[in-house]
Amino acid sequence: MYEESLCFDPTPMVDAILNNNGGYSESTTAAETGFPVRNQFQPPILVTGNTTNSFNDDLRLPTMEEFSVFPSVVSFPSSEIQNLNDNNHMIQEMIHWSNWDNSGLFMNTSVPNTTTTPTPDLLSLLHLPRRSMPLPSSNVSDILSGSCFTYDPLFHLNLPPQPPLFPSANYDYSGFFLDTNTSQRDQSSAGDENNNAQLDSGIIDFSKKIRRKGRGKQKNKPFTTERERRCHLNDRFEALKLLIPSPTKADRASILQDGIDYIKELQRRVSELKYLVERKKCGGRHNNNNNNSDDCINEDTNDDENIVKKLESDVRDQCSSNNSLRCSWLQRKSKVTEVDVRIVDDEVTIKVFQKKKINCLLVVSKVLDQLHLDLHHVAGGQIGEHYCFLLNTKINEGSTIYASAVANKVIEVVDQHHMAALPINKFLLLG
Amino acid sequence: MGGGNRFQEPVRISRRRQVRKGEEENEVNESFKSPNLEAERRRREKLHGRLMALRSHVPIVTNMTKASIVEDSITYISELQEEVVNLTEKLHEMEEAPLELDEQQQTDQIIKPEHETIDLKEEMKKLGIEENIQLCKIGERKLWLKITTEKKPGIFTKFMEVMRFMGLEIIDITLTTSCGATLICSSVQILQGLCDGDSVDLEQTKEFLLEVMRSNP
Repeated sequence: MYEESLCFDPTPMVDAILNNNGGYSESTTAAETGFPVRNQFQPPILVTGNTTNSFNDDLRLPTMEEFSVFPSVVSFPSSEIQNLNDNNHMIQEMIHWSNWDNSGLFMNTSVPNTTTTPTPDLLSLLHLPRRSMPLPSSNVSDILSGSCFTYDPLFHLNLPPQPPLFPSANYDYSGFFLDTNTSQRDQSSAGDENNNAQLDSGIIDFSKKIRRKGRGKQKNKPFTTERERRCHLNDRFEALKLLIPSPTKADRASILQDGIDYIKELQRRVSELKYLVERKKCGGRHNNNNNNSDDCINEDTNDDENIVKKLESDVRDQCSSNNSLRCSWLQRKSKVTEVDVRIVDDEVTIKVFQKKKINCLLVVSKVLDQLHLDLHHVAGGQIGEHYCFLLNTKINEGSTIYASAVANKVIEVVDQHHMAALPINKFLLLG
Repeated sequence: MGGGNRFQEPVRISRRRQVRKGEEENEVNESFKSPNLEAERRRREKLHGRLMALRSHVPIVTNMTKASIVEDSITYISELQEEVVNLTEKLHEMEEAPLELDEQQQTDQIIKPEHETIDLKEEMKKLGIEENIQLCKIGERKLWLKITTEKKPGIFTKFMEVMRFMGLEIIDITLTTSCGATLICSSVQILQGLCDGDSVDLEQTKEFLLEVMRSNP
């Protein structure tokens, strides 16, 4: 319950003060204090999240004395006022947000009607987000029971959540979905902060319950705020993006698409490698070609060898009876080059697409020699500003080359060549 | 309390409310609201579709929420990456450590290529394919050349080296192999700044090329 006093209307006070003689008819103390006009009723926006109580020293708000003017407002004993004057800025802060209460009520009187001793607690209550001050919870509950706080006292200040005070990142002053779960309290480590947690959740409890609007239980979920859930989801997307080798766009749909493609590529690579490993185990020859295996078995005299070779041939037959053609497909892209490698059985088809006019065929053919790939067919040339080549090669027998090795090597070499060749081209053009 | 709503964070739930509101107001303000609504719906459907596709590729075990789908795919991708690395290592190990029985196979391998090259040469002779080089000018700085030669390993590299050496830039090229012979057709351009188009001696170039192609590395 709050006492509805006069609607505190700042303007008349200002006007009154502007009457320079200090003739503030309603308050004699105003003249005494002579607070400066300009700073009195500034909007609370002044108080930003950065400042830790670094209130403008010039800012002087009416002290409690002045509030005594308003009859309905409880006046404090002067001794208390003295104390309060020392902590003038605290009062100012309290008054600040109470002044700018949108409901236009002056002093939502959490200011207790009874004693003065709770007052400092209340004031420290105000400072909780800024300072970690110990606060006995019992007092808090007493205060709050009579409070009319329907909103987070500092919400309008748009404070960002302040990590040093609250270890859990759950606190969000500008949000209204703070859950009053004990989980929050559990997470906060220090005792002070625990009290703070209780306090804050206490304050916001009202508003939260009011705003629930039957949204359903949130207690079962691991996340307490919607913001956390979103942050967690965003983190997941970022992590996925990091895993993917060459992400182009950063939006969620593209990340997902790249992820799908990458998974498919990885699955292909794994199956190709498995095939190669198995083939190697089976003897290193083409298993599709039974003739070769027959040739190998010819020279044996020893019984042991016979047995071993027989076993091997059985295994080979098993492998070949799979009747699986090796096939794999990979793409690699870099800034100026695209490489597409397809392997079917023992034929490797490489397509190189270069966005700048750099003659890369020489280096590519060198790479192919290195990889023991037998060149059968090449076609390509300049298309506008780009180069495009298609190379058909055959894998030499016995070589266990795999698609990703080819692709990586080719693109690496082409890029290197590109980096090296650019200035040379320019030089030639000039010369 | 009224002030609180103003500072409510833009939550996805509230967006849905807005959307519903938008649908109601659709009649009122069609031209403004509906294009965005359609686009937003399409965007959401696209995202959802892709998420489902991702899920279909991953052997997930856990919940079917957006976060868990993405999380599971992350786990799966790292698993696959590990597997690729392991298999590659294994393959390399297997290659480096030759099996005992492979020795005989290796000797067989050595014998085989020689047979092949001999066969190729004979085939070429059989079919009457002769080594040949044609070179002619087709433009101010452009040349066209056609080379028929014996198929040898590394011949393309040689050819490219020669091109670079002579300062010829390839406009287009076709290389085919058949019956032990290699045919290279290419149109090349003389790089600017090296020499005038007129001063290129075709005959000399031809002979040079022939010599290079015939040489054994």
